[in-house]
Amino acid sequence: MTNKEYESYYVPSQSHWPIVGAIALFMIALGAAHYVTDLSKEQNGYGGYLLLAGIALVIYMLAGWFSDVINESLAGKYSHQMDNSFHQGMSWFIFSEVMFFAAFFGALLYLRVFSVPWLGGAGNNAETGAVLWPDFVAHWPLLTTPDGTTTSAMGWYGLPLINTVILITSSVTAHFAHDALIKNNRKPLKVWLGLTIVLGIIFMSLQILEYSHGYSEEMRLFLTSGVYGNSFYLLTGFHGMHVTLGCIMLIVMWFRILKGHFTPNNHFAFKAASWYWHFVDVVWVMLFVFVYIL
Amino acid sequence: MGKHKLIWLILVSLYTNIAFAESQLNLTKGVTAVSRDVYDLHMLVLYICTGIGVLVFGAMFWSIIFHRKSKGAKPADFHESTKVEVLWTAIPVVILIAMAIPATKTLIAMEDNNNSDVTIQITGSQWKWHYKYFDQDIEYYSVLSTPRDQYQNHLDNTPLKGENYLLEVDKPLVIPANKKVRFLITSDDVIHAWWVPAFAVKQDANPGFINEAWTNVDEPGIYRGQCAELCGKDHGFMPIVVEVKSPEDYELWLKEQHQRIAQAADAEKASLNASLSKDELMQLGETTYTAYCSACHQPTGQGLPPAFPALKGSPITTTGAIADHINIVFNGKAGTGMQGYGKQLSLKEIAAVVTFERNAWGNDTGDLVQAADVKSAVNNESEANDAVEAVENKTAKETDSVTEVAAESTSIEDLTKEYSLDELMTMGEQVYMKTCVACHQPSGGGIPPAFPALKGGVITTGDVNAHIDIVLHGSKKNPAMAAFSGQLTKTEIAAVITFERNAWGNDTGDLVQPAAVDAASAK
Amino acid sequence: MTTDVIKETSHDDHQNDHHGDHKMTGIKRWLYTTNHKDIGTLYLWFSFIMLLTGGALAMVIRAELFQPGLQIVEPDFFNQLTTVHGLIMVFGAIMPAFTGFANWMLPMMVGAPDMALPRMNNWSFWILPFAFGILLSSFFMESGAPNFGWTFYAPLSTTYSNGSTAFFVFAVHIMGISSIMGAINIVVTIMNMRAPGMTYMKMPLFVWTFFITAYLLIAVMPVLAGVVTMVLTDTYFGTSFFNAAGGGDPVMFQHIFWFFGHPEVYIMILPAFGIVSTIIPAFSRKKLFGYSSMVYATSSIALLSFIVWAHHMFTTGMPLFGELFFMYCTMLIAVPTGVKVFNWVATMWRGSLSFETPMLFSIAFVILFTIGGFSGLMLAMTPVDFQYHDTYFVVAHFHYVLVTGSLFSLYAGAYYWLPKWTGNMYNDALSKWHFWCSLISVNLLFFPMHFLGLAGMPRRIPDYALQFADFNKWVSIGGFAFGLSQLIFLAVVIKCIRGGEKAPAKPWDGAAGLEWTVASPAPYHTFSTPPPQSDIDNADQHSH
Repeated sequence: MTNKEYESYYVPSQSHWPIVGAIALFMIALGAAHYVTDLSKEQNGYGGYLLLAGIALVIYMLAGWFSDVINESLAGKYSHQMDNSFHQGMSWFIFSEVMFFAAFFGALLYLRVFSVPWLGGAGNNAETGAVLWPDFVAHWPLLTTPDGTTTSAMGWYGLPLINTVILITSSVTAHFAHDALIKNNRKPLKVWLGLTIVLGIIFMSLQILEYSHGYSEEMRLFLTSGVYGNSFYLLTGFHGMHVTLGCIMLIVMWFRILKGHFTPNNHFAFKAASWYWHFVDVVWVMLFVFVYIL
Repeated sequence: MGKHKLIWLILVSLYTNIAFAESQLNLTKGVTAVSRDVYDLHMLVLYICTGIGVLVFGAMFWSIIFHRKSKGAKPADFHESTKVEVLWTAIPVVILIAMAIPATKTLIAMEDNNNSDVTIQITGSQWKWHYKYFDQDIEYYSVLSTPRDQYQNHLDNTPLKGENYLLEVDKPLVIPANKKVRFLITSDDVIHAWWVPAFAVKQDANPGFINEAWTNVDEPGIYRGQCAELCGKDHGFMPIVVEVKSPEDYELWLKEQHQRIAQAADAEKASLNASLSKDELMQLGETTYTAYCSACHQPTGQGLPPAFPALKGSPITTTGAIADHINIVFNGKAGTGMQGYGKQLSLKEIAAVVTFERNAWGNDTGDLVQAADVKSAVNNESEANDAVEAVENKTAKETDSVTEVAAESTSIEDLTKEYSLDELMTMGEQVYMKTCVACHQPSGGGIPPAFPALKGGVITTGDVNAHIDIVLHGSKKNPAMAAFSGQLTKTEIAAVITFERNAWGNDTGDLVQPAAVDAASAK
Repeated sequence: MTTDVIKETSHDDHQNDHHGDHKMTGIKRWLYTTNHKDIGTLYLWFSFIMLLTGGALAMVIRAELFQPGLQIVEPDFFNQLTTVHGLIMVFGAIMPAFTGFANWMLPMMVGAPDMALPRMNNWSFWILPFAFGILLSSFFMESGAPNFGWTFYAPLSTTYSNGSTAFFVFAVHIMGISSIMGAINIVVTIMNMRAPGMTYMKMPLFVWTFFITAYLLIAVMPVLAGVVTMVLTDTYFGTSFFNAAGGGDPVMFQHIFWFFGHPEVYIMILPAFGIVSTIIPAFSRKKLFGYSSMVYATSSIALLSFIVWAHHMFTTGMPLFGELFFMYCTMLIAVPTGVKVFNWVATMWRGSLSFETPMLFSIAFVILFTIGGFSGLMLAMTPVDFQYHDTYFVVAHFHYVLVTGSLFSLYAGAYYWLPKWTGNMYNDALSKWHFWCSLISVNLLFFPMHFLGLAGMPRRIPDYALQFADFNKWVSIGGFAFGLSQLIFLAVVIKCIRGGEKAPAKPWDGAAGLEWTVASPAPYHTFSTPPPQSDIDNADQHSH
């Protein structure tokens, strides 16, 4: 290493964004807690406003923070090593998201394999079925809960199938966009990325439509409809939130591309957004299999 | 292990002057084959651990004593040895296998719930145990019997604590010796855990699921345990006492229980026709209240809001309809800590405790509730209610006794009639006690935040029309406030509104007549 | 990838950029800082304040338990105390303290200029005070603080909660975000920021343990977020995940919680292994015995931690197969843990030992942690666990592991590196007082709890039967003494910051590691250029 000079790792000077971010999270947490508590007590409070203010502050913080980072990057302050830090940071962040979904998939698995059959008297729970829930029949999807709430199941054909095709296609278009970026073909890049965003928005719209079917009088599939409804809405709901977030990331990328950002060698933010998009796609495929089909 | 010695020295020297007899150091051997196996396993692991500890810490202290820098020790240079590493990986594995084999055997034996002689369903609820003998029609609650004033040390002159302080109950579980007794353990509310150390049985009571456990006790005797899973406020106050009787004594006990059940049914029946004096009711009510209600609602009737509302001055216990008061005591209140006492208390006791709550702590409604009132109130409430069915089975046939409350509420309605304040107040109080008291409490204090206070409340002291409206049509903001237009007659509504506006010091002086209610409901 | 670091010439102005920004002064320095040493200091002070807060709650608990009967607090408030005590000690004291060590030491130990993502580092820290602010503020709300135990078992925390659930859940959410970001930073720093020539197997064991711990955190904190979310929806939005009436199961809560909770236990002990593995060789003047086996043992413990969670739930009525599986896996953990203890003893064997305060705490750690390990082995045996479960035996077990384990290692590490942090030697006499007072009182505090548990005293009760009275009295006395002893530590630290004998760059003659190649106190920026290979080789704990 003697004849090569060390490329310095950029350590930013003081930044006020983290503390703004911490205050924003504080407002979100406190606001949400008050909001939820007031909701349960049928009271009106300031929680909702605090929550919204917190979200606004987080958006402000992210915009400011990222624009600092973008400016530093455009000023050429970053090294290859810094790029590595960002890449690794993003991939571990996505891993943590995977584990968040794992908790809900794990819950779904447990409900289907253990809790519902046990309530019906399976395994070492013969007496549970016989004494406590004599009228309950274990079946998945759980359309009649032990306490008698009834609902209906969301089929996999129709909207969910269309949505699966849409989301997989969007993953492919996102990949083409990335390819175009690497080859420095800016125009196809804009088109493919734009297409990805449009597909994402269509997905979300169809998802909302599907929810409205669920909440219709014919289906009566509510968030409160026993564990089938619980797991259905929580899994698809959190997925939907992630798709929304991914979409916003892609939209930001699109505008940055319009501004001429990113080069074939240096486009971490684009890569991060596209990784995230592939991640929500994979989660959807899992959802499609475990929530809808099986 | 040197630290152990230190502790021992301290403990022993400190204890020389103090009676040590009561303190137990080791796990109990217990009184079942399984509990002895468990004890042996415990000792086995303890000895193995002690052995390893002596070796490892011995080597360490050897270094500490003989390889000190201050003694001029020069450090050796080794820092690796595959041989040693393999050795001290392999040896522990062998030791672990040696421990796992007996542990597996014992565990398999513990989980074998087949071929039992007696089956008992154990249900935990906040904070007592319920025992139900299968095929015997015997069931009862078992509640801590240590008097409250023994553990409230901050009161003056706390009485001496008894020998079985906090480990005594009113009715112990009774099981036969030398029989395989199977327990089906579940819960009504949160998770509890049924634990008797002498049997080596500890099993969680999960709401909605049944866990099985079993025991086969060698020697008759009394064995004590406690709830072992945090279950809320009085987790430390729900002990378990098991009385193991010889099979012959057990049979005798069963017979006795059946007789007692028959007698109780008779007494229940008799109590329906009996009319107790206020003093009798108040006395019985106070005893019952102290035993069953005071843990949450407190001896002062002030409760522990918000979880456990005040009864003092609560609408449920004062202005509400008596029948509602009875119903909440009998059936409990879904989604809250208030459980139904219909299974635990006799009709007479419920009548007494309701009377007590309506007259104690300055509630002074003057209401007297008799067993028959309880019966009819409960019957009116719900035919489908399991608890009610249980009582009906017990108390059999009398369906003829129609109660005062029911009679009044069905009497012919004359909307033009003008009632006096006294008449309205009397009637209103009855209606309140029947219909409103469960939520708004006898004191009118409600159970905020879900059930607002009527005492000094905006609605009960404000605009009369708004008051009538909310009683007739329910609250738009709070779904807990139901519309009563379908349940109460207009006269009753008029009476209860008058009552609410004048009771508990609301003293608005407002008189609401049936006609006013009729007019409001016509809108 | 370490070779990536070496690049062609960098522009001079870059150098200026990050050497130009020296410390701001006043509060802004701490609010806006991106410096790993500043952030480390913040973490350490925060965790110490939390330790004292949680300790104060414990003092009230012990005062209530001093004699039978209810004297100071009501049962419901007692439950709030035990709950918040647990939450604060786990999430507010032990974990942030280790993160503080990671921040201070990791960049120096791997020869990096700072943590990989310095701004995010600051964000991770500043979330914590707010999270604990929310948690503690619930004491003053109408609902009261969480009263369902730090393990918040449903349905006590859902349908039957006192109304504090939302505050608890959202506080946990944001402290989880903080932990995940902190852990990502640690992982990336270690993977990407090592000085050229520092291969994975040349990293100090300290770095290895934090590396593995950070992986555990990234893997399980999101699961905690998931389970608190289900608690939230069960409580406020009518779902039935933990309610049989809707098809759920309260035991499912415990499965998901402990899938997080057991690795969490190792998150709190693996870094302790790293600290002790640094200190014992230093004061034995001998290299760490079996470095590579230590790395493998730590990794196996981490992997095993994912398949042992249900040993916290033997009494929940799992099927026999499950109980056997989790019993066997749990017993297996004794093997790598044993390897570690044996390695420490072998490191001391035929060394040249001296007993400075860090070493005293480390030796106490080895002995007392091992006692906690022994009781852990006893608890692993399912049939016997039926007797131990939810008694004071368990309380004794995890306090031996977390107080005389994690906390003692933190003290050992603090004394070891205080000269590097402050540039001054600590007051030796006072530190010895701290050690001996803590050692005696902590054993008086926790050892009799074994007896209480075996004799049948359940945990989390505000009052107890008379046969437990004598031991409880002594436990309480031990508790008060231990609590007071920690104030000595505060005094030592404050004295050390204010002055004292000046510390040389390397105050311990047997110490190894890159952190000792820089001055004491460590300059604000270290290793802006990577250390020479010779320093890395000298710092090597193990190889030839």
